[in-house]
Amino acid sequence: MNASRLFESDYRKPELVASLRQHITSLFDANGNNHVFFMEVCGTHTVSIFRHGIRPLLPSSLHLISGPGCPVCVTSQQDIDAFVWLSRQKCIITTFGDLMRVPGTKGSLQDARAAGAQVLPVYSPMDVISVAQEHSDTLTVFLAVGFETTIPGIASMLHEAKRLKISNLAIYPAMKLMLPALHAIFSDTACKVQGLICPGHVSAIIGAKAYSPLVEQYGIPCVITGFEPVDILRGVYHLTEMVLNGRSGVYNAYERVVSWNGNLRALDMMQQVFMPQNANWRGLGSLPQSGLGLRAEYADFDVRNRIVFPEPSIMSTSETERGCMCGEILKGKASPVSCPLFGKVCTPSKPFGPCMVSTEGTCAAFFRYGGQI
Amino acid sequence: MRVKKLLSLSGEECLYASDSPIAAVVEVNGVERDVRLDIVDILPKVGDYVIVHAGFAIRTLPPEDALKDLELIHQALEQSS
Repeated sequence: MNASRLFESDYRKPELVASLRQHITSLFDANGNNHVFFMEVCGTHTVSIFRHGIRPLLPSSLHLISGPGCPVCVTSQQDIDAFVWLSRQKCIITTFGDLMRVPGTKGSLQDARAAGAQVLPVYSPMDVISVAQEHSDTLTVFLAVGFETTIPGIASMLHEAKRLKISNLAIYPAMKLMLPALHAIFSDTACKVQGLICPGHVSAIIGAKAYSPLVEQYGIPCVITGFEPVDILRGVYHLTEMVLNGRSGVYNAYERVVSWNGNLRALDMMQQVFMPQNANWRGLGSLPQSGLGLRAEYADFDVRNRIVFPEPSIMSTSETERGCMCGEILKGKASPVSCPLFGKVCTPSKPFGPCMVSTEGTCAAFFRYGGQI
Repeated sequence: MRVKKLLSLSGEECLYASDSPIAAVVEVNGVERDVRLDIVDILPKVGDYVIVHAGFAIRTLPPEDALKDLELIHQALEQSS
């Protein structure tokens, strides 16, 4: 689900990387190399940091912690189990590919497909319309996961389905909003994160101003940046400068993509179709107004209004019973290497938890690139 | 991804902005694909770049803005040296 990248070579220039690295090192040297903790909250940032070998370039006293920014990873076990249960009913499941391998209590969507369930990976939510049109006698359900970058596209698809009067299409709403999760992390008095690297493409939708409440309530410096090495190091440089000088605020280091007010057309589309509601997050639990439900005029598109689901307690076991530390990893309280399952019973080829499944997952990035915090 | 063509609801090429394009043909590394324009911040022109996420353009980037951040980085580094 990564957004496309522009002018990669310009934002990967080795001499600029070296200069930014030198500036960051100088800031730390001048401040006694005290330990500093930053959180990158976007799964694409996590992967970019590993892929480009950013961590070894940084001072050893600067620690990057991965946050709850992988949409597949934060989807609750109850929702994963509901997806798998749903796939065994008389319907066609459409889903982003990453979700198919996440283990549920009773197998994954991939297992269900191997057993005969109709589970189709899609590239875009808009593809769901053609699937529904091709199978007009069968209910087609889209498993709607994602943050603010993905949600307007899902809203747009439902808007189009309503215009076309497609009655055999529904979604399972499991979308998440980024800001409530960040409030949950920073309101925890044990939180050691001193600066936030904000998600680049979520910010393109919600705008830089969305982070102002975090600055006002927790005094946390926020820097928005892109995904190329120069972008990331620029973000780290400005964040370091703010933290070490005791300043807070929102700094936009991704001006070519992110504006102060965000994408008003996308926000308007989201608001036409969805409204905030409480949501369950893996690791963070139930957070008020952190998810989205369908507005009354779109209620027929909610599969939960068409099919009666079993109680979650019948379908699911808890994460801790499974021995998986994904929840703690998503909160930034544990490193993948501290999980007893990591690299042993949990690997990308046979994942036990979602953070090892998704291409944006922290465990998958640690395993693939051998990273250390 | 660079916009090569704008498309109407019926899939016809839009020659004028007043045709209200709803999709675009974009190209990256020689590969062409269709993207929707329903939620893009500003409708692009042919030759503009767009940031694409899950089949939807979410941001239009005129070529002259694409290197904006590099200029700002150079300025910041010069000031701190």
